[in-house]
Amino acid sequence: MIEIRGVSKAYSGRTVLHTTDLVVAGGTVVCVFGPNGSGKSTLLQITAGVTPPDAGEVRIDAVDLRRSPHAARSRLGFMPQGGGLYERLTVTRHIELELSLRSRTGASAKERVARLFDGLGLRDLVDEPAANLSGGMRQMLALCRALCAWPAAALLDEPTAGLDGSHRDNVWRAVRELAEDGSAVLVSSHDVDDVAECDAVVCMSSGVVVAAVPVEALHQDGLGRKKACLPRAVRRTDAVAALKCPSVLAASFQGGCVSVWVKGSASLDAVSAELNEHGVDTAGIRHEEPTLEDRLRHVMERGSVDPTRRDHG
Amino acid sequence: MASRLPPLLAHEVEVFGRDIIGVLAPTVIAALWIWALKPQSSEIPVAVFVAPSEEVDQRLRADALVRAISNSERTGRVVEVDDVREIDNLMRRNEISVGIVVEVIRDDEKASRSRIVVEADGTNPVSVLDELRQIERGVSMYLDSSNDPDRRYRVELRARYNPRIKSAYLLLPGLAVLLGNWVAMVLACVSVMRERPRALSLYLRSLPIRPWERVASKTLVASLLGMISFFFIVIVCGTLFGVDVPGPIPLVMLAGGSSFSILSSALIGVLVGWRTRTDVGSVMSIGLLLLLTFFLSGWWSPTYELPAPLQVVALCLPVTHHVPIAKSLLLRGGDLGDVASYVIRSAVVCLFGFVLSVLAARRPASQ
Repeated sequence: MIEIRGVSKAYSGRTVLHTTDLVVAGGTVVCVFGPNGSGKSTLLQITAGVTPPDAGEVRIDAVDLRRSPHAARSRLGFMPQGGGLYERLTVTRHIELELSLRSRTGASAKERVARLFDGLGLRDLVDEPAANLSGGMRQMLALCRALCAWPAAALLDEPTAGLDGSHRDNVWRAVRELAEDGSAVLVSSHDVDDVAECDAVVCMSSGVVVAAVPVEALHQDGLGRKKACLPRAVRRTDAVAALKCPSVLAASFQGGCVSVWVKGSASLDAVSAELNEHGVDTAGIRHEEPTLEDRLRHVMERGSVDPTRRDHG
Repeated sequence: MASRLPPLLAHEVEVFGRDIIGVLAPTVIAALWIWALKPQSSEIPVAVFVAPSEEVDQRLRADALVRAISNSERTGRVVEVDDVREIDNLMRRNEISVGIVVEVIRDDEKASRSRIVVEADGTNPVSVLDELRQIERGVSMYLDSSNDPDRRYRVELRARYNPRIKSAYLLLPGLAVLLGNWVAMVLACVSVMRERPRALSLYLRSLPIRPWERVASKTLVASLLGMISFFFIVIVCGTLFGVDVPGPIPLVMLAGGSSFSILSSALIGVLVGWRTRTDVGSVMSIGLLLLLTFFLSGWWSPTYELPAPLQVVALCLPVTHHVPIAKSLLLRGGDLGDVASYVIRSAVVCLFGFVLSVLAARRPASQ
């Protein structure tokens, strides 16, 4: 379990992480989601014990990171953004070093490493130095190193950044396997696809946790509004015109046509009539299921969640 | 088209400006060196032995003679000893640079003459010749002024431990000590610089490694390589340049005495790596330290010839305590008792460096 209580951080008087509370239970994968500069990495670095917080406390598997840093760190695996590899060390030596530093040796560790090598596509590269690996395989090696010691808590800073679809699948398979073994996993990302793979999402903006919800609940969220697609409204000016309609809450120009958000109580016919009045072509108007991105954006805009749902697991 | 050189130059100035201490290092060192060359406190400690004899002119006794011999202003602390062997002991412990023996030689029943034996420590590359020349001048002046036609003097000048003033003898301890310590310092700093990329340093700090383990891992290998370099020079000097290197027991004692100093240098290298933020800053700072050790460690000129404030700086350098150990054991045939005080000083510097390094390992500025 990862417990973060009242943690905050400022650099040169600029607060980059406001008071934050978060609990990640064992067997759970939580995604810290937010744009660049929202404080995701700072939160993970504080949790990993590499950046001291200005206030608050972090517990890894019930061990206080400040009071017993050695014991707490021995329970976690950390993958920093960028990997953090020794260029001249081979794949195997990276893993051996990690295992020996975390006192994880023996048959079970070897078996686990073998599974990770297979799962992450590193099997044929074990004798290659990190400098010879492609960007994607370097990511895989960094992930493998973070997970190989079977940590009680894994902290992964943007593990899928820059990876293609198949490698992303491999990453999530390995992460899921770790969580199924009872580890708590905290992942940072600004990619919506990553959120879909997690059990819960913590949305951050400007160093503040603006929402924390289970991903399942996110899918079931009625949002209180509907989305309609206007396939014939193909000009950006149509989106501007749509915003003048009383029923329209928001309009966007995406994928070559306009989408509008309307009040949940509004009927599609009424909306269509309003849009026509403002010169927007509504031929073929249809309901559109909000995407996960829409839902996340909505949650972040709403900026509030039921406080009882801040803790996950 | 306007030249791109001005903005490029401005950029270079800006980059170097961020490491201002390192940039100023050569100037600071030059200033210190010019100051050190000015003989403000270069007083040579002297020991004198006057052989018990009624025929020895009382005017020759101790202080007056010594001051005359050493041109007075360069004569520092004067020790009068009761046993001629004590001069040897004092010189092996690096406590004096000049010894004077005054004795009467009876050529026959009627005639006698005084002999003045002046010995200088022949292991100080710069000062030995200078000292001998000054002493010779001083003796001549003294004899001229004594104006005693009945008295006949014989003056003998000797360089102890290096009678033929061989340059290999002069350079061996200094080269071995400097190289050993420099290798340890530079390699330890490089091992820290190698882990400076942000992601790697973040990863390393997340590992369950205690600060003292970090310090030990960074310094022990560098120290071992420093020790190997040290003994490599000793062996080369012994085999190729004919320097009489003593047998295994003094060498073992030397290894013990050297280890504290070389470990301290590695600790300094680690400290520099952790306290500087950039590679340029690290390189500049290490360069500054190398120059300081070169000029202030006393390997070519005794540290008592430095101005007093620089003597304090020299005391903080591990190399300063290593040089006397190497000189005494390698060249003067000293034993553990002769070098014990320097070994203890090295150990104190080492302990101090270790504590500072452990504190720095908790939160390196460079990461």
